[in-house]
Amino acid sequence: MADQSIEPALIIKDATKTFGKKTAVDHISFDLFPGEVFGFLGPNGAGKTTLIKMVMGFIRPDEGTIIINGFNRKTHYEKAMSSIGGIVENPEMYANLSARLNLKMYARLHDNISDERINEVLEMVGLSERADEAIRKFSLGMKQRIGLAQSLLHRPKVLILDEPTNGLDPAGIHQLRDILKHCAHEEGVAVMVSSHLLSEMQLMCDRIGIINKGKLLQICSIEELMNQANGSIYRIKTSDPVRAKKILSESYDHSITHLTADTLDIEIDESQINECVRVLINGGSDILGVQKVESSLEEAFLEITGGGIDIE
Amino acid sequence: MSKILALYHNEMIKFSHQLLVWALIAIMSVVTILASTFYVKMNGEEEFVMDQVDKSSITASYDSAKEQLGDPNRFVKHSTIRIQTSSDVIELFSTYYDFGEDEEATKNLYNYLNMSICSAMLVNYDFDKYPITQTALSQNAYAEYTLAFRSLIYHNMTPFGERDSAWYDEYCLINQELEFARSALFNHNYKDYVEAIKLHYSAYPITDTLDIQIQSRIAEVDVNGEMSVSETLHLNEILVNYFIAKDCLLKGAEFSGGSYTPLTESRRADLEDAVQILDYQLAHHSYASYENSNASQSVMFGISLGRLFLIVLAIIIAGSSISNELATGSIKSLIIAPVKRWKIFVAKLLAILTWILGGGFLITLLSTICVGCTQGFSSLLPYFYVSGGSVKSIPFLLFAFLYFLASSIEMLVYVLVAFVISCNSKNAGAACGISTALIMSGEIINLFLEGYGRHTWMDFLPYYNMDITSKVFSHLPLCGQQTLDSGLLSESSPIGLSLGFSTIYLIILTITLLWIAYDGFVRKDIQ
Ligand SMILES: Nc1ncnc2c1ncn2[C@@H]1O[C@H](COP(=O)(O)OP(=O)(O)OP(=O)(O)O)[C@@H](O)[C@H]1O
Ligand SMILES: [Mg+2]
Repeated sequence: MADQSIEPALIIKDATKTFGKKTAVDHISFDLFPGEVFGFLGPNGAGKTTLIKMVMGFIRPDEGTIIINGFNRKTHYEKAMSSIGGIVENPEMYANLSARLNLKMYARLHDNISDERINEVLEMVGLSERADEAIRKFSLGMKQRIGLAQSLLHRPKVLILDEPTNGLDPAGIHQLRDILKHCAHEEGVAVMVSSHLLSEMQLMCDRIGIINKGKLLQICSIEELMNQANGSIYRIKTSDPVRAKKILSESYDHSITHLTADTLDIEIDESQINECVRVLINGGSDILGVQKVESSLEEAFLEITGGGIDIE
Repeated sequence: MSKILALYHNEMIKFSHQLLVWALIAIMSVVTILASTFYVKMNGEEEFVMDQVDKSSITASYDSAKEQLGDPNRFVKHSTIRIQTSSDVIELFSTYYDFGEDEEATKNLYNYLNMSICSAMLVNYDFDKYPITQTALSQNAYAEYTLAFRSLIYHNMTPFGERDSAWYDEYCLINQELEFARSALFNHNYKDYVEAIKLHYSAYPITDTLDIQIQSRIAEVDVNGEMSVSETLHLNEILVNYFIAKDCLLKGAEFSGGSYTPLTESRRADLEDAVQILDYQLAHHSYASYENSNASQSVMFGISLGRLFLIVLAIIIAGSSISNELATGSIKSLIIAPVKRWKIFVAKLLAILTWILGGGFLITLLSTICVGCTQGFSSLLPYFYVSGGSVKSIPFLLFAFLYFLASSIEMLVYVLVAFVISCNSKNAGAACGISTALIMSGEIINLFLEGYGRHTWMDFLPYYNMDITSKVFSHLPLCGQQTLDSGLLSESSPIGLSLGFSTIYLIILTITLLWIAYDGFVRKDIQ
């Protein structure tokens, strides 16, 4: 968890961007602290990429300030940008040059990056053996990895990755997670990751910001998000779920959510489960098992974003 | 600054890893080498062959003439006139040639003339010492001698009774002319030759003194009459320019298109420079020999063909430099880097310029070397110019490169157009295509406009301001240094706009284009 008493590595204040009449990013403000992995969550078209592009200098904000590592991006562009690294959408490099040459060229634009550092990051993303091949021969996942290597090359204070798991295999995702956690927790880098996959966020993020239709709706920890899900669902295994339903229908009619051949899902509070099981046993139903089903984060998310699927 | 250098370094790496770039450079080099090496041959440069005038040919014509004439003396007539005064009888005797009136006579006259000249030559001329075909003096004095000889024979055909004092004056003149021509030919004396032609021209009421001036000047340079025919002819060409320029300066007007037009201020300056340079060249013997007078033209030809491929290369490089990066997304690693966007812009522009200038230098160097090897490096004269009242020179290679630059302004403008589009679009094909189309339509529009006549508003068309070679190197043609037309694809006609106007026009055009490019890339969002 981020230490809130220290200086933020990235401050975004009132960032706004409109494309024509459409406001893609609407007065978003938040701070990113060293040592944390911040997840930026939102459905398609929410404005994640637009915000990231603003931070990375691709597009000019209509309004708002961006301060990176204490330097205002507007007034101290190069100083601010030298402590930021990242990937916007897909990592794209010079396809007919080798991975190593690509990194070398990128390194030239920063101060004091040694060849050893290049080898080090290549090692880190597991590409040292194929570093001398042209990028065009790389698979999507390998490109994703070399993009990560590039963004880590100059030991940035702020690392921003836009949908970094896109195209990675499970091992790659795992590795990425480890690298990000290592960067944040061991090296004190402020990491920001965007995604629309909650499960992914759940595994690597310390804090999550939820964005929809250009507005930052909420910033919270994973636990807080999960707690927002009303109640929990319990799955009761029984040989005759229909009969069990009939027994329960008197007192828990509205809580029964799902029925299969041998299970019955019921949404009740933790305090009520004891009573519920007793009612079943008293009613003569057999109970083969009771299991708490993890409340779906998706549901919480959908609730916050108000459905979220309606892309304009 | 160091960031710009780093960016520039990267740009150069990117270009140098493109196969297309190297392929075009290879084609460009081959074309340049071939064009410059074979220009002289392609142009069918004929060898300078003089009439064979040697002892054997003279003997042959002597023999054949003699055979036809039999006894030449039968054409020689004598007549006597008796004049009775109060106390005396004066008897005058004269010899003249009479060939009669019939057709046969004309033929006989030529044969007789031939025979007389040949016999005089055979008896007195030292063919071993002064072979007639080798030096210009022998050639010219021989011609002059023959001419004078013929005149004398014709003169001597006037019957005694018709000879008056005017005839006598002319007779003396021709005799003198023949005497000088003989002395020039037989003693190899240039001064006498000059005297001979002076006399020759003085016989005609309307004569140009140009020839006499030129020959006197050649006599100064070539005192012993040892220069080869072709060399003298070339020197002759230079001197023609020299004296015409001097003449124009003297008259303050220039003869062109059937009338005299007054010299403008700048034209006068050019002519003065040309005279000074020609003076210098004559004094230092610093002009190309006749055989290799096409050397510099060969180089320019090589450059102009090589440049066609350089245009393609330049437009591809400029047209793809930014749009390709936008299209493939590789621009991202530039935007994320801690460099301001105008630095990226400047570095890219510098890299493009480097490739174009490098390519230009390559074709200049290649064609210079090729021509140097085939026609001799000494035939590639330095470029002379006048500065601060004295003649200075720059080496040929540098001059050729500067000439290339001045004649490539048009190309640079089109390259800039490609770059502008490249900055504003992801479509590299459009950038290359549109600028190529502009080149074509520029040529076509020019074709139409040429038929339309000249109008003031045309001065503001880019096309008319892009050929500045004729303005920068304005005295080159005056010095007889021929250069190829510098039009990008076809010949361009030099327009009488001033260099200052064109320069300012081009600067404004360049700044406008650069500003559009800058606005497109630096100030807009990258999507
Ligand atoms: N160049 C553009 N011109 C016009 N509208 C744009 C432009 N770029 C983005 N938008 C709009 O801005 C909104 C936010 O887009 P953005 O790419 O930031 O979404 P996102 O959160 O990254 O979505 P995804 O999860 O699909 O990547 C979208 O509605 C999109 O249509
Ligand atoms: Mg996106």
